[in-house]
Amino acid sequence: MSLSAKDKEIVKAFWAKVSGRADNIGGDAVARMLTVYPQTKTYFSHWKDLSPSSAPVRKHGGMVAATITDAVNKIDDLAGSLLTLSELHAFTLRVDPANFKILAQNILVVLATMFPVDFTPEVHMALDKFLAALARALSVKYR
Amino acid sequence: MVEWTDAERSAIINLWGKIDVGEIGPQALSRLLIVYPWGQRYFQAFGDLSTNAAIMGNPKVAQHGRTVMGGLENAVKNLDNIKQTYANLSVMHSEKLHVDPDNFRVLAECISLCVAAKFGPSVFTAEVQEAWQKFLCVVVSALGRQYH
Repeated sequence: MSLSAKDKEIVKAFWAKVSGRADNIGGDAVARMLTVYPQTKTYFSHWKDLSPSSAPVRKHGGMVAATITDAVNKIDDLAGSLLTLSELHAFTLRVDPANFKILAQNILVVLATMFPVDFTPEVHMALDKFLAALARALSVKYR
Repeated sequence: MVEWTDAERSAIINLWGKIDVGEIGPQALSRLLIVYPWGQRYFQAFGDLSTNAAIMGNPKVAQHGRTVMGGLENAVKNLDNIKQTYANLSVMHSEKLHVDPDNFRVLAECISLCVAAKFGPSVFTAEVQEAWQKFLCVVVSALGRQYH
């Protein structure tokens, strides 16, 4: 299930449309993830405040969004562009890679709530594949 | 037995009250057949599924979407007894229809996304999403339970 040329086109066009709200998208996705999948909170025990509007949640959401924007721009070499992040997640953060899928699901939910008209089945499929490819690239250094 | 908080119960019942089964059901099933095309293996008798437009306009897909979504009514009405409520349906999906139960999980995701798109962030809040997804998770589990 690799990204076709058409998938890449769809992802780039959609992200160009929505990237103005990227920070909100990232922040909401992280907030939802922490609420809907409380086991993910175990990775953030060093944050004083895990509520949706808290500074660390919004900041982390911003980082996630910026990474996605960067990945969209380097969509032809996801593994290369995410190498450093993969090392970070594998060796330092040691986040169970199953959680990448969880965050991806919440990103899709946020996109559906914010952009219901643009989130067509075609866009849904391309984004689902793209986020899965991102997760794979992020998992590259794990073992 | 599943423990529901009062907040979760009312979130599920309120959201269900807003959902038009005839609208969300067809959308969710169409999305499954488009986004996860291997799901089409179960619908070879449904006629033309060759393009996204064909899927979205297919009356058998729409009817089946309504049927499946309507089936959730039983779960909403029997929140404390979902496992037993779906036992026979689970047997049927396993023995008669031979449906890979992973499809239930995937359809649940499609349903959640259609609901999210329909109602937006002020109705489909993180708390409502949590309750709704927990609910669907229990239904999915019940549907897979009688497989052997």
